[in-house]
Amino acid sequence: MKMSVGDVIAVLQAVRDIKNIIEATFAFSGECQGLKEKCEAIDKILDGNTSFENTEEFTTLRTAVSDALSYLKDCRKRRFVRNPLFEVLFHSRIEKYTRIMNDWIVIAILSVDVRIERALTESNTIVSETRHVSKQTLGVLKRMEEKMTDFTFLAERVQRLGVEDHRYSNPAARSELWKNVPVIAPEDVEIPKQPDGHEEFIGSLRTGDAVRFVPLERNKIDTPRLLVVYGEISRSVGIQRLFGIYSGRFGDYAVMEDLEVEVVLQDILANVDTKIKMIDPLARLKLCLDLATCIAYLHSIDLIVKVISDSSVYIRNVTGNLVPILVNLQHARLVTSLLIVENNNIASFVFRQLFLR
Amino acid sequence: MNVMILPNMAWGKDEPIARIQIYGGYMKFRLFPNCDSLGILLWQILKFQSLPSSIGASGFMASFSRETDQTIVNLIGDCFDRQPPKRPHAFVLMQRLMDEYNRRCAEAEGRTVLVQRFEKCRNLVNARRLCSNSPPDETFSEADVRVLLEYDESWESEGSGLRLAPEALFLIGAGLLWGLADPHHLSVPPTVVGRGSSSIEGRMVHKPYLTVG
Repeated sequence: MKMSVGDVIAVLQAVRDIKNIIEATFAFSGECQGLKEKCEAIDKILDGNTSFENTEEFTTLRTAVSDALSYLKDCRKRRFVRNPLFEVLFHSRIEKYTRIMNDWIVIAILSVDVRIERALTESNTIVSETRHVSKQTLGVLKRMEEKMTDFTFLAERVQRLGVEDHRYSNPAARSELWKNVPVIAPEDVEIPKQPDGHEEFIGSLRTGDAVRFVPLERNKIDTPRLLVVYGEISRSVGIQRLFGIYSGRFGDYAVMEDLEVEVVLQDILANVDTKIKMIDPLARLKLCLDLATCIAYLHSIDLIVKVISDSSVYIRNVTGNLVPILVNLQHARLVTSLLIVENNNIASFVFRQLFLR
Repeated sequence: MNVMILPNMAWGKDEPIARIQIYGGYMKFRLFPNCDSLGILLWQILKFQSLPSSIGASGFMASFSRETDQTIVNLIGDCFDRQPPKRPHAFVLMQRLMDEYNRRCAEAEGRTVLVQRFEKCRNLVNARRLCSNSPPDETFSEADVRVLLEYDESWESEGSGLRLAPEALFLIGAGLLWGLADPHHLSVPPTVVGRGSSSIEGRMVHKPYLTVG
């Protein structure tokens, strides 16, 4: 069995993430008082002296989190929450983390002995490997180290279930992720002029979309996951769209939406470009609302845009409606999430690492 | 560690280390070409005005302090509060802008009564949130609930720019939670299997089952 010590951290981080989401949602709605109690119950387990020395303690943790999630789902069904972003949050995060949590907790229950053994030998490298390990997590690890006894019987169950290794360090899991990244076939693109190296160039898709081919580091371990994450975000919010990847003569490229055809807000405000008018105050207010919604969504998934000005917003005219598109997301930062275990900087997490600009 | 995660909170190795200043940034150290501020961007759009690249924080603050449009001040004024914790979160801005947008849309479409009804429900909910111990003096009328249900899918539908769905859904839910809305005004289909209870109060149903007037 190939389990990593990071799995223990992943379990606890996932639980804490869910708790944080629930807390954030609680504050978000301001209505669901019951969630506070559920969160406190999770805190009590995480902050208490639980050593997780048997399956019962993990089960208690899982029950507490499941309880909170059920309550949250119930709130959603009863429509207590005002903001439509809650729905996005719910779909994109809660269900995902429920799945992750269940997976990891099952793995933790079944294979804790192996990881504790490794924790004993690798405890010094945990911090450097993961960059972010909370004191709470280290405390739990320490308690496990002190009190853990014989869990060998669980190894058989793990083998029987065929539990996979950590999904990001596992080549098979990575190839699964690659399956979620759309591939643009050569016959679907038109490229007027290809550069002589692995450099950025422009072209178009057969659908008529103008695109920009951005050099991509395919061999990086994180690349497929980053593409999936960016793709998910770009589907949900008005940012520069990712169509997929394209394999060229000199390497792979991310096929991004080409915004050169759109008008940058700065030019509209300075009256440089007269293609788009924003005379109607209601249209301007709506544009502000859409921008604020976009930023609120990004904040809800723990992204801080950082660079936002009239030069980082493009305006698209869609049958009379002005739609804002955010660019410059390579400066964005991830403030917290399960992914913080692996990298706490979204700039290097998604955008800067992904594209060789 | 038990820390509430706020949207504009940055994390260090073990704990949150700083709040990133997103509405105004570290303005006194920067000129605007490098300054990231949703507040300034919104102000520019609402005023339809570009800012000279040489303008600094004090220059902008000086021009904003002369802002005479009270609506703009109410919408984004606190984005430039000198105390960063007092600056609003993006979703607060979003809700303010949505309320203002709906108000103006309703005015343009001659539906001010509708907005007043929503405002009444909102005030009742807010009052209950502040004082939930005693029973409410006033509750949602059947007509209020009917209007809320009517607009629970209002999202820039054909012929109307209104986006009342979030507000309507919130008010229905909050009304049920705080005992302001009578659940009997919302019928429950007999086919629905309850989540642990067969009580009507425990469920919320969709419009196809609505039997109210």
